[in-house]
Amino acid sequence: MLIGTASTPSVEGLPSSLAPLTGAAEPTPIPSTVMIEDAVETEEERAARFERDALPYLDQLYGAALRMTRNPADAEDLVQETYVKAFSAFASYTDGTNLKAWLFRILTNAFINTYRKKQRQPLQTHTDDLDDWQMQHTQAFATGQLRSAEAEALDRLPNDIINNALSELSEDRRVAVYLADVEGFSYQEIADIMDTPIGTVMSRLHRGRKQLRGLLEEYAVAEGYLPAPVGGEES
Amino acid sequence: MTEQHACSCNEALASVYDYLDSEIEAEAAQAIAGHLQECPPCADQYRMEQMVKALVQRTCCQERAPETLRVRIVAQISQVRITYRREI
Repeated sequence: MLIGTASTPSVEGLPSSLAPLTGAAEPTPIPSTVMIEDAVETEEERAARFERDALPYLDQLYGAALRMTRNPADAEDLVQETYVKAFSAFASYTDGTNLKAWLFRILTNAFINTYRKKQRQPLQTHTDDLDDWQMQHTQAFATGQLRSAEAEALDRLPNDIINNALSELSEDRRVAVYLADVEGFSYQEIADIMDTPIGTVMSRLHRGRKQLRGLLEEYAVAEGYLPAPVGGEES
Repeated sequence: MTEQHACSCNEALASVYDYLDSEIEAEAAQAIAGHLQECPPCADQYRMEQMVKALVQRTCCQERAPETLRVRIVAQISQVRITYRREI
């Protein structure tokens, strides 16, 4: 279960407002397991190592589980199942690989195998390409002067509105956006976690963000944070 | 907009998410950064995408797992250990 890590290019000499965002999460710590040899590790030591290294991801896994299940009780069950599975498989976990990504992969698998079946949701797939995204954004230049006002309006939106918008995304898009934006995983890591090609990850991300932005704009207008667009459809 | 280091609007827009997510080579990132500094409409678009990403981060970074969940997990791990030991 190897998890790749994409290199992160640095961009020098940029004004901070134009520099690319990185994930909000703290940098993935190097697991302290690297120095321990399996051969000399007792069962108690492994359990202690698991609690020390894996348990600190509890809040993060719970946050992701909440986005997946959209239900606190299911999220708790899902996280508990994840930790039990992870502990059972911890002996086969390869030291030095990305523990956080490994845990998120177990979480995602558990969600797909248990909860998606339970919820009887059909697998949602999106095969459309990116051309219309570019079209839309090229056309939007005509109304470019509204953009900074719009950005300010979106920034004032309360969290529950953003949560509502997120929960309207399809499961695949919601999880991809969450893993990229909240957990700061690379595209390759998300592909490994979701067990899908990297191109599919990018498509889910692009479409998810586009949809999210559209929803946020709708909410912003409906709640009076933004004036209604003049002349009907704006984007 | 056609300076040597900068790229075109289409190129910048095609890679805007890769740039936002730090998924491109440093050289390509410099080209897009150069374009964004020269092209206000593209820079506006980019700021909107930045904003949506930041909003998701802001909203989702506050989750705390209930303490009871942590207790249950620790308890269950010790149970799994005991089961293992009995099997051995």
